[in-house]
Amino acid sequence: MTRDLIDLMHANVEARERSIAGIQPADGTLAVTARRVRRKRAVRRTLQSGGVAALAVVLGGASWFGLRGHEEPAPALTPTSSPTPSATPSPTPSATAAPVVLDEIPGLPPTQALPPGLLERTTPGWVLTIHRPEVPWDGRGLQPGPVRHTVVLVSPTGDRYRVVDLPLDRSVTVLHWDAGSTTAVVTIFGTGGLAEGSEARAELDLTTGTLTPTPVDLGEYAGGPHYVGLAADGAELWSTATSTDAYTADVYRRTDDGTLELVGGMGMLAVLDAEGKWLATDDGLDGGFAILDVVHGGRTELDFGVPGRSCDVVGWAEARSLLALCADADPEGMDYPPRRNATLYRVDVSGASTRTTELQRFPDDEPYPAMWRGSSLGDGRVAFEMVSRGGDACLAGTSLWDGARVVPLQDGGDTMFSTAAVGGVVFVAAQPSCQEAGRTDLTAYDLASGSSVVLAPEPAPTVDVPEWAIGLETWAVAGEHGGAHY
Amino acid sequence: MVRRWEPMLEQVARERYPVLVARAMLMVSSRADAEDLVQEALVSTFSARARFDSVGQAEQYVRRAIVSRFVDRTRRRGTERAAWGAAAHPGERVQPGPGEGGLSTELETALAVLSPRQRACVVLRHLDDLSVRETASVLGLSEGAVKRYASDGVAALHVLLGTTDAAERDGVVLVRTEEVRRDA
Repeated sequence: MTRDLIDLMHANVEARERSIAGIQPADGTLAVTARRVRRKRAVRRTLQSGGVAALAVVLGGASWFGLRGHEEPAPALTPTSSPTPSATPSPTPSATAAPVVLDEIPGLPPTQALPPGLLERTTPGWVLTIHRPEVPWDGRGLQPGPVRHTVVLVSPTGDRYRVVDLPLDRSVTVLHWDAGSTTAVVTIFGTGGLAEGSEARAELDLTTGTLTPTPVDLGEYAGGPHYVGLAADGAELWSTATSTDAYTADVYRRTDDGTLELVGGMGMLAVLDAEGKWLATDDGLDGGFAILDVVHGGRTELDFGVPGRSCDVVGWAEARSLLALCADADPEGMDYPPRRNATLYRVDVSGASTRTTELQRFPDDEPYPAMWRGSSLGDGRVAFEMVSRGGDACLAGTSLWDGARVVPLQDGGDTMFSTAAVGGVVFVAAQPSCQEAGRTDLTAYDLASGSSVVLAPEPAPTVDVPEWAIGLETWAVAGEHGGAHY
Repeated sequence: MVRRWEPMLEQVARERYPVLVARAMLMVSSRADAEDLVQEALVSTFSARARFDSVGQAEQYVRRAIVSRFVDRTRRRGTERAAWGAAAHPGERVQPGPGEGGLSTELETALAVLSPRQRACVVLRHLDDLSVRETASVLGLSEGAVKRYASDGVAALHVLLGTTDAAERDGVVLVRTEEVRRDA
């Protein structure tokens, strides 16, 4: 008598399930799993937002503040706690000649109406922000959920202008916005159901609020396609997963007419150089990494040149030169955390093979630079978040490699950060907790003058809402190749 | 950012753990490896998706991720060719086992003889009842390759287990098609 294969398969699986009924994940395993998910989602947000954090780029090679030479180390900066207009002259359009009364709108920072023509006069360093303040579930009987969805334009000196309101039932993430443009490229996340109403790419008319879907024809495999950043020649970079879980992906260039050109394969983590020419990714074999030429095409697999250690890219220091963090390989196979004997290296990739130089070691009980999230200033300096050694591997502040050493930029324990850098200014968004929803504030650090300005403070509490769940949701700096952060 | 996925992750991991480990044991030979594969699938599933409507839906994604992660592992480790070599000459018929305790079920033993992609295609097609197109999407293979792997895998299982019928249900037509692979 022959047996039916399908019946046998189901019977065997049921027998196996019975034989192990009642088993549970080992103690601590779930916590580790959750931490790994948190990390990957945080990294993915950075990548999707083009934050590819390191996409800090000076358009056309010219900064509007002027880059500080890195021959001498920049001093550690002391962030100011209140808005401090930069002392550095900037070509900021003069929008107001006299003091204005700012509007206090619940859920938004103080703003004023957008003067006609201001958008068209913006320059690199202006920031487009989108606020979607939510009333939290707090058991007080308030109706939870978003109360506003507003685009706010912020000048380099912290002046804020309400641009346009967006629908409450959608979450709009700005991918990139060019100075002087009245259009922004965005992603739309539907909030009503699983991916319903979502659009990977759309164009937002900042004068009317109209959202026009402009699909990227790469399918929707594994939740994609995802925006990677902006290439040096202006082509948008998009990735589409080549494995179900998006561990591997292909990178495409999307030109102005919507044509897609395959660049090559990338892993889950990637970071663009300051000029938008090279994409470093973790998809190298045997623990190495790969570099893609995102303008002309081509892919090269390289070795970190530190045998026996586990390495990751932190970010691009200069053209053809990377910062990498290497640590003792974890015998348990978990590379995050811990990172024992974490050491920062400079990896020169200009020749046929890599040349690696040790820069700085980090004690085992102190924070170390986050990998694949560095924001390059293009002159050897790189801003990056620091990772705490706590069990949850929260971020512990933002620091700067100034060409000679790591100096603190913004402190903060158990905080989530996102950084960008344009024209000698480092932009840092911070949330007060890496575990829960948080209200984000955005601060700009002018490395030349040492001053800082809060571009987007947390929304102020009201009588009805003593604490907002979320305020600033996404932002993009004009002149940044990476675009949005959220 | 509200972390709506965390309670769902815990619920899926705690309530469906035996089912997920049982599924992983079709892919790898030891329970420890299976539990590692489940963790990997949980991480990849909850890292990649924004939200799930239900525990059942999340479980379905994790089940598929178990298979795709397994195949991705073999791709990266270059074990596909070696495993295929072993599968090219399937051994003698597998003896039935109880599937209790540490003993492998006869299905697990038989699947271990197949190449990783054959194993994955057979499980997704004939246990999860995915279509050829869905299976191709999950594994990043062409539909022709899925048909070929599933057909070859089922044929091997028939020999190993003394079973019949599954292949006929497909109306499988063997199409020799190159798989879709990225920068091999």
